[in-house]
Amino acid sequence: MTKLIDVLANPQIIPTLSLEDLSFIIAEARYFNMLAQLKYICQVDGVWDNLPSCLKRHMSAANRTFINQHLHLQHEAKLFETLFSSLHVEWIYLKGSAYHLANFPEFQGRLMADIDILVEEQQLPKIEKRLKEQGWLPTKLSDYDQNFYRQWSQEIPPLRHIKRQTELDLHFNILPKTLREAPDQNLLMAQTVNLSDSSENHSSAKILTPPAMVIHSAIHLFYESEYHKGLRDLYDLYLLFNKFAAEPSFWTHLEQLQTKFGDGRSTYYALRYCHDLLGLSVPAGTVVFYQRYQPNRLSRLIADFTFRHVFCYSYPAHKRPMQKLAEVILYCRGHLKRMPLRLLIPHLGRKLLLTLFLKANKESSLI
Amino acid sequence: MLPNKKEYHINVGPFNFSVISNISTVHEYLNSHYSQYLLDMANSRFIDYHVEVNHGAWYRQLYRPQAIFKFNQHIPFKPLPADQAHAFLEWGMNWVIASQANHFFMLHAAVVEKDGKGIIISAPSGSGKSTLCAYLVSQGWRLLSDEIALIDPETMLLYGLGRPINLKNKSIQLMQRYYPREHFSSIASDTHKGSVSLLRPKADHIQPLNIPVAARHVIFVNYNPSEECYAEPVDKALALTEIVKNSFNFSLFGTDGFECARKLVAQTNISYIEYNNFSACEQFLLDEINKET
Repeated sequence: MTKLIDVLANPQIIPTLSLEDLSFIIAEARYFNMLAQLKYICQVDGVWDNLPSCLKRHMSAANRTFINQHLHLQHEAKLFETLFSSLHVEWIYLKGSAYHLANFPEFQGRLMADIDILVEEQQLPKIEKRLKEQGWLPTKLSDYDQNFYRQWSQEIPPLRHIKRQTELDLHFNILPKTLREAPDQNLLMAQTVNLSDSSENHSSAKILTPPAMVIHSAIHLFYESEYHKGLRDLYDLYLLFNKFAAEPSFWTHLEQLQTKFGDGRSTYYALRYCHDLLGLSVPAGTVVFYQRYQPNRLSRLIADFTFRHVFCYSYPAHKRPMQKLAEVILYCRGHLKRMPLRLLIPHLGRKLLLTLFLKANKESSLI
Repeated sequence: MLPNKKEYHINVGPFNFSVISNISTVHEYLNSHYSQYLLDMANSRFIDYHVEVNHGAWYRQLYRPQAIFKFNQHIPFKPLPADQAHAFLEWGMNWVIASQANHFFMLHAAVVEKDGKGIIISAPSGSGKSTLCAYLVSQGWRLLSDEIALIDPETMLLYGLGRPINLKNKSIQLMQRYYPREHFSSIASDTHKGSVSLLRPKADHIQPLNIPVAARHVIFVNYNPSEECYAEPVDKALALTEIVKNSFNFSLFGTDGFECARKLVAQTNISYIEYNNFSACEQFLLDEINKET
């Protein structure tokens, strides 16, 4: 059966698919929240006009959510502009909010769950105070979780606006503090450009430079322990690589920053799977450069096994017999990469006890 | 209990659903209430939405059996008792349409048609929207939907679903005068809406399902035991705010949403009705329709 990733790698196959196959492509795109994005992909690749209307209408319906979210983001950005400017602090948009506020056309239709902003750690107290005054409150979390976030991760617990319900992830670091191979954080944080350089709005906000954006995005994906949204995140990287590669010096800049920064394993994986699964073309020199970060043969075999499973077969209808094993391996890998064992064991033990004794009520109630 | 998983493709108005279930009462329900919508499984077709209603884990089939609703591999709701499975499927399908079909401007309202004219019936929950709808359909009005008005934002035409009508509590008994027994599904008791039975309209009261109609009337109804039938016209501006309130996706539609609501009140006659007598209410509606022509 044709999978969404096959369509992302080559949208030209869409017109050749049967109506039955197309139902599953729409269903899988809906599952990964990529239905609106699929519309732009079809349009860019010139297959949109000849699609049957039963198909188009689902993508157009999803596109309403995107347009709505985009307006909403711009409104929030205006409010942040006033808030952060009046505090005289620097703020950097990350991930989806950065792609959209910088008007990257490649990311049209990409939905986001929250707004990600990076600020300096020493500025946090006054920023948090002001945010609270303006209605940004922490989402319900236990004291344990609150402390865990602040002490060991790279962001404070998610905030939600009391009226507008927008979620805000306020990062004070680009990588978790617990990282065993903690690279020099300041190096990446110094890699910023003004948002106004890439969009028409006159904002004092910043975004990361192209190489820093790629390295940050790759680290986040390949330090994950859960890959429910893995396909979307890998596709983000593919879009970033493709976009930035239009500037031939990008690859050299990427290699230069990577040399300073070290820890190129995540970027190595990003390039490997963007190439193997989505057909990204990477210059030979860059391929050679990143070979120095390649893990040993056994690790490579395990990585290929696990990552191919989560990127290609995560949609439940496509699941393979070894899917669970791949997910468990990546779950353990992610946790081990993020935390030393002396932290990890008590943390997981506590989580396990909580899950066993307190039934999590995650489902929404019936309308 | 042997696993008995079956897939059905059903066509309801503009949508094709795939319904998978291993619950025998759901199979019976689909065969009795959706017989005219079941599609030949041998044909390849586009499926808009994939839903499932299945039994819970094996031990929950022995102790207080459960039904679990799934949409596109997600479980959006908590399980319900297994004897509510068929009603659960209907609510689940309503939720799927209301949350996903955003190519339509959608109102929480019933829609019927008479002489090519679409009538949108809006009412607060529990005030007799479905009951009036069921009565009118028994008198030969065509059923489009008892829950969701689907409006194409380009053409402003109403699209029908023609699915069974969701009757609650006393309405079930009330409607037994107008429909044969086999049109009522088994009663799901003790639901969050009380007792529920799904009423299958007669086949010729739904057809032609896929032909949209123009909205001509909007009525806001309220059941009032001490009023036979009282009606008054509604100010357009007030009607507009009511339509906005009853819309599932007004804010998602942005300015298009306002435009749809504005066009709707501009092209319809709008009344407020309090009633306790079905035929008096029907007569009022017929007079309104004929007045126009």
